Formats: sequence, structure tokens, C-alpha cells
Amino acid sequence: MEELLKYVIDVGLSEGAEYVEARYHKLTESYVTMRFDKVISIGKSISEGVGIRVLADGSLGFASTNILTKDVLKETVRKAIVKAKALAKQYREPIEFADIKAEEAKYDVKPKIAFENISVEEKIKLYKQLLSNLRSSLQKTKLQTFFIEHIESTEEKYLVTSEGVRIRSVIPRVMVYGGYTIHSPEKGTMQRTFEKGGSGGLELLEKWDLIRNIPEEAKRLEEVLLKGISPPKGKVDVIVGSEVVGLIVHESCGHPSEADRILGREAAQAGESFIKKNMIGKRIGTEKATVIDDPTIPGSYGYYLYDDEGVKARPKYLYKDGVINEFLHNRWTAKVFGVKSNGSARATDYTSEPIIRMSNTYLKPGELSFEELLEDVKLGVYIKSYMEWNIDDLRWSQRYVGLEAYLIDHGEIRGYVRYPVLEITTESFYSSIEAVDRNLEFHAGTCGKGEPAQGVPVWFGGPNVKLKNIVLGVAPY
Amino acid sequence: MMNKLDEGKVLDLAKKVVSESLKQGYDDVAAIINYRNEVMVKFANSQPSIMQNWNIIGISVYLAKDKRVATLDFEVSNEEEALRYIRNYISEISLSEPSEYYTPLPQVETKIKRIEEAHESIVKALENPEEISEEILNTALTYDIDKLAGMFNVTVGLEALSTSTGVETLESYGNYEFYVRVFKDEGSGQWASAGRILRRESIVEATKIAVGYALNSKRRESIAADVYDIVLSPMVVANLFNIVGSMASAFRVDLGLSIFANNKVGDRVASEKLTLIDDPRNPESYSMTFVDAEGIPTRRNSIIENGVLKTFLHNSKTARRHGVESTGNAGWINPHPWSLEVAPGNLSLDELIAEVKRGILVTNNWYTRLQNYVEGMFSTVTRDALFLIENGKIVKAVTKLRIADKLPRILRNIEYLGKRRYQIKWWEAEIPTITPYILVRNVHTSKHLL
Repeated sequence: MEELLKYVIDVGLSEGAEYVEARYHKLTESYVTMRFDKVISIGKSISEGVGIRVLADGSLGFASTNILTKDVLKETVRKAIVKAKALAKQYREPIEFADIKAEEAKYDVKPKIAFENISVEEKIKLYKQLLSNLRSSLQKTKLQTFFIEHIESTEEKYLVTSEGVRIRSVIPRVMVYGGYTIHSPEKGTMQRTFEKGGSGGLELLEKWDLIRNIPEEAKRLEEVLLKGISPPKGKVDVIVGSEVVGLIVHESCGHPSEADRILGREAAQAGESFIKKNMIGKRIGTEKATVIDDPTIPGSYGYYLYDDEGVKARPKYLYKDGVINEFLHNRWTAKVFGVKSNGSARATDYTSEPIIRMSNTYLKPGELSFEELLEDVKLGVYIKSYMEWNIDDLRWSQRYVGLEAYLIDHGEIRGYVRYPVLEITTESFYSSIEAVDRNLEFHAGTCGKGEPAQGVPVWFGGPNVKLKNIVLGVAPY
Repeated sequence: MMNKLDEGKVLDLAKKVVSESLKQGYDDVAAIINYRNEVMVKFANSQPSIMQNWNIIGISVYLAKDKRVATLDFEVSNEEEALRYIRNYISEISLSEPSEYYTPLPQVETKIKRIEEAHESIVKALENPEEISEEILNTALTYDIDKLAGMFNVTVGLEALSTSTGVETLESYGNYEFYVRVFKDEGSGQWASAGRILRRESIVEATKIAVGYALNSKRRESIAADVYDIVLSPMVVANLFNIVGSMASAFRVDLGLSIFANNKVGDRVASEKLTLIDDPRNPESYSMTFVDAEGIPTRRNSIIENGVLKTFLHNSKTARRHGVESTGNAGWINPHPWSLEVAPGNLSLDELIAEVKRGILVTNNWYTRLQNYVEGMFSTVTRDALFLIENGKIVKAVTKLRIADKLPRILRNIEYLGKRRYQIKWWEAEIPTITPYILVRNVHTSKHLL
């Protein structure tokens, strides 16, 4: 493969490109899908090919193919160059890349329990046990639907560029996605979907302990469905659980800090950003508001050590002590901003251009225990999880509808709240953070961006967070 | 493997995958080979941001052995590698369990060969995308706008299907997708167009609509969240009906991911004004296709007719479970709509607006998410131009809010539909949807409280 990739670089340079990047990218996935205790299907997908990106006359071109012969690769890199050049005169500002150090590296994640060491049969057995535990945990409601999908994947990449970058990596990952509906004749239905993900092998299944955790959560949701009341009116304190905090920082710090979005490159798709080019140093929240994006966390779902432009990864403090501190950059945005790339470019597969992505984004935890967060709340709501959420295309106005939620009365959890709505602006959220506890947890997701849309694995997380003086809405149930 | 669009080889490869798989001992086999050439220009800040090209062969295989079911998808560098995986998978599939969805592949011997050159406008755009790109930029930049962003995409391809029941089909396709978003001061407008003939006037019209909405919303005022009558533009209808149409899949119903989970065919699920159709045979449709993944000829299906649920969307697996015939919507596992259409009404946009005493014209939305799929509790964020309507007239452009309601209620409260339809396909509406503007009464909205 190395020879083929070098060949692409040589052809690209001889055809007049200023920069050529060739990425061999193979993604192997296996899945099992079940409905209740029955298997629907199993399967496998393999995508393997080369994605080629070129800069020619200041125009950016990308071409990819899974036909890995010299002839076709030659034709592919030529096409990328010819078509990019044909568009060059339509650019008002030619594309340039910031300089980088040409890194050479090879890294991988070694699973403790390899995928092949647990058979399909055993995985099916595990999820049957999960279902059986889930059924026994529900005392007062009926389990109306249940499905689960188990996905194992391995991502292999080999990046070669005309500037001397050589990066090889192999990252295995596990993802479990599922959902269920509980039903009460009097109260209707409540639904939960869940996602667990990480890099590594099947040892992750043990760590997640789904057969215990999912049924326990369902038992709590049953109480919320049956006993949940509307949230209190007027201003109250709200404790936002780690799962919701993680999503909030992903949506209202990570996305608006993407420098390509700030520059308008995603304007017709996922939108722009309330953050403008000159807003580094502007206060956005209290001193407790520190949000970090860190691809280097071992075992994380968004793990990588070098990005898909060959830049070494590092933690980025996007908001620091309540102040907008750093953007997520690739080489193009770094050039525009006059900074160095901080290694945030990723591509989903060989058919995708590398674009700026989050990795593992989280709110920095503090020192308090959860009980200490609760203790001086006279009247409030604790929102532990969510289902519905969205945010506007400037990443300013957002809405999270609580699923597992509780009433807090004089420092104690005393009842259940059904579907409280936290609908708040980004500045109001970060400016309302009064305290954070020490319980940092991460949650897995697939983040979508780009055109064609690219899904990449990410973690989002944080501790439990206390917000002061919040007005909650109610969802229309 | 091929490196040119070669009809004979595409079908031969599908047949070879089926025969080789049968030799391994699989009971049922279907293979789809898809070969495509695609080009996309993405715009931002009134200039291109990247030109992307794809030349890709995909091999998808459905396998069943002793009622155990598997699907395999390959985009690999040579067919031998795919065949090797298929051979080795026989031991994997035997460790699985019989699928409750298993049913033998349908006994149809569909033979379809529908090879036609993609329309010359598509072929030309594939070869010279820079010409279309220039046209878009020139059209928009003749107006007093701040900037535009968007993309256009052209694909030409071949798809072959072969099955162990004797199906052999080969179809060619060529289509385009285009959308543009235009900005002016506080305002913006977005519009889309898609189809199988790239007409210059469609591109120009979509660009002008986006420009018009941007210019007319350049000064905006805030309004309170309330219950409003809402005129949904085709962009919004396409986004919401992508969700509703997908929920008609019998598989989605089984998983509890559908507002129709507690319905049966014949139930009233919407206003009698609503007829929602899946029509893969429409020659104008971006995704016209004559055969589904099991070899059943596709057909025009009314999902909802005059407000009544007429059918779920089925493949042979879900059809057996529900005791009906397949509707030609396979998906080997999950049946899905191909190309949605909302039957038109008879009002112009001005006449629709005239029916509103106090309401909003919503021209675009995004980020639709559900709290509960069975009950259809959802919200979506409006974006681009929004106009307050009072006493049948647009009075001013207003700032963003959310539609936060229940999908079944939205369907029931449809009162009028426009007569002009647009084919919409874009980032937030993957299934092409041909639809008019629609007036929905009493829609709940929300807005941030802090």
C-alpha cells in the first residue's frame, strides 16, 4: 500500500498540484441486531479505498476510489487536480494550508479481549440476559418494545502527504445502541434509547455492565412515567446530570468552536457559529465553565493521536474559566487565523475529506460530591438524562427535554418530574453554572457534519452541574 | 474489477456473487452491485470550498442459511476479497440464531433491463461541474446579498440485482441535488432542487427563492412563542415527512420507532386533506427505481390517502409477519420509502397565507428530534426566513423559534395545501420529497426561556 500511496503523491506533484495527500482508509464493521430476545440479523461491512486531497491553483480538490490499481489511482488523482483547477478562478480567496512538522508515526489500540474471542452466540446470550433482567426489573409497566444493536469496528489508516507525513494507525471500537418503550395504560409510554461506545475490545462490555445498568435505569424510568409531575414554575435551581452536560458542551461549545464553521464553510448545512473570528478572550460563563476537547484519552470513543492531516493531537481548552479560549483548527483555518493547527481534522472513511471535528469534549469537573451539589437547593429539579434535544444553527438557542428527572426539595431528592424542558441560550447556560461536582462521566455518540454528511465517533461528558435561577418549560405530552 | 461504467460486467458480477454464495451452502442469496461516478461542488462565502469526486463500486449481499439472516456490504478493492468474506461467513452465520423475520426470498423472476443514458444535462454537469457552479454564483451575485453557501451534486450510476430465485435486473440512473443558502444582514433564505434533468431554470429559480427570502428577512423582530397557524414551506414539509414516511416502515413499527405503532391500516391518522404517496416510478424523481432489493417491482403506494392510513411499507419479511403482500419497498431488513409525494391542493402561496388570521410562514427548519417516537413528541428549530402573518397578509420577518408539538397532531391539523409542488432533497431531507406549501392550524411553538 505504501508504494501505491507514494505513487499517488508522485503523480499528483507531476500533474501540477501544490499539495497532495493520499489516505488509505479501511473500516471493518460487524453487527448483531436483536428485537426482544430474537435475532433479526447479523452482518459485516468493509469499506476500503483511498481518499486523495489536492491543492491546485489555490483550489481544493478531493477524489476517492476503491479500485486500487495504479491506473485508476492515477486517473483519480488527475481528476482531483483537473476539476479543482477548473474551479480555481471562482475562488476569491485561494485556499492555503498552515505549515506543519512532517510527522512519521505508527500507533494502535490493542484490545484486551479481541473481537474473535467472544462468539456471536455468546453476544446474543448476553443481550438475552439483558432483556430478561429488564423484564424482571419492571413491576408496574409493560415492556412494549426492545431492540439492540451490537457493533464492532476496526479502523485502519495510512496517511502519506507530499510534505513527508507518514502516519499509520489501527483503532478497534465497540458500540452498543438500543432502545425500549415502557407502557402504562393510564400514563401512556416512555421511551429510552441508549448508546455506549469506546475504543478497545470486548472488555468494554464488562466495564459497561449493561445487563445490570439498563434494567436499573428502566426501573427508575417506570417511576418517572407513573409518578412524574410537571416541573415547578418560576425560577428554580437545576442540577444537570453528566449525560445532559456532555451533550450541552458538545452542542454549545464544541460545535461553535469549530473554526471552519466560524469561517462559514458549513453555512448551508449545519450552519455557522455565534462565535466570531475576534471573540477569543470574550467571557461566556462563570469561572466554573471550562470545556476541553481531548482526542488523546485512552479508551475513548473519539480517540486518535494524529489527525487526518498528520498533525499531532493534543487537548484543547475551548472555554477556559468562563472565557472563549481556543478554536478547533485544521490546516486551512489555522492559516486563516495565523495559528498552528491543533490537529482537529478527521475523515469518516476513504470517501470523505478530512474536516474539523470534535473528539472527546467535556466540562472540567470540580471537587464537590453530588450530595454537596444538592445540599443548599431549596426547590429544584435534577435532570439526569434526555431524549429530545436540538440547537439552532448558530449554536445559541438550545433545548433539552429531560427523561429521568427528579424534584429536589430542601437538599433532598423527593419525587419525580416528567419531561422538564431546559430551553436556554448558550451564554445563559454557562453563566448560570454555580457549582460542578467531581463525578466526570463520558457518553458516546456519532457526530454528524459535512457534505456528504460524515459521522464520527465522539465522547461527550462532564460532571453534574448546578445551575442557579432557571425557568423550566414542559414538553407537550 | 471495472473502472468504466460497464453494464454487462455489473450484472455479471451480481450473478457471480449469487452463484458463488449458493455453492457455499447458503439457502437464499441476493446481491446488489452499485457502480457510481459522482461529483459535488460545495460553496461557502460565495466561492467554492471544495470539489469532490467519487468513483466507487459497492457490493451488498443478503444471505440466509437455515433461517439465519445476514447482510454484508463491501466497498473493497477487488471482488475476490468480497467472495472470500462471503465464503468464510458461513461459519459465522451458523453461530447466529434463526431470525424471526426470515422468510424465503419472494418467488418472482423479475427481469428488468432499463439502461438509458443519463439525461445529457446530467452527463454534461458531471463532466463540467464548474459551469453549473459559475451559473449559481452569477445568479445569486447579481442581487444585493452578503454571501451564499450551498452545494450541487451529480451522480451517474448503474445498479444490478441478482437473486437465488432468478431475479436479474439492471438499471442505470443519473440525478442531481442542489441547495443554496443566501445571507443578507440579519436575514437568510434557503431552497433546494433535485431530479433527473438538470434544468437551468430550476437552478436559477431555487437560487432566486433563497435570495428572495434572504432579502425579505434582512430586518427581523422577535415574537413570543405561542400557538400559531403555520404555513410550512416545502423545505419544512420535506424534513418532517422524511420522518413520517420512514415511520410507515413496518420494521420501524415493530421496533417502536413509529407514530403508527398503535395503528392499523384503515385508521384515520391525518386530516382528510392529506394524501402522502411513495412513488418510485415517477420519472421526475431523483430516486426513480423499478425494482426493490428483493426483486419485487416497485409501485406507487399511497401511505396516507385522504387522511386514512392505507398501507405500511413492506418487504417480504415484514409482509409475512403482518399477513400481507410486499409493497416493493425492500430494504432486505428495513423497508423504506423511495420517493415521497404530497398530493397538491388548489391554493397559491398567497391564497394559503390569506387563510391565516395570525400565524407564521416557516421557510426552513433543521435538527428535528423526538422525545417519544410512538407518541410523536418532537421539536424542530426553524432557520432562515420566518414571517409573521396577520389577517391574511405577511406583516414582518421575525426571529427563530421552535415548533414543539406532536407529529400526529400536526398531521390532523393540516387544513390547506398549495397547488405548486417542488422536489426537495437536501442535507436535512435525504428522501426526495415532492410537496407543496401546507397550512397547519394550531401548532405549538417554543423559544428559549433564558
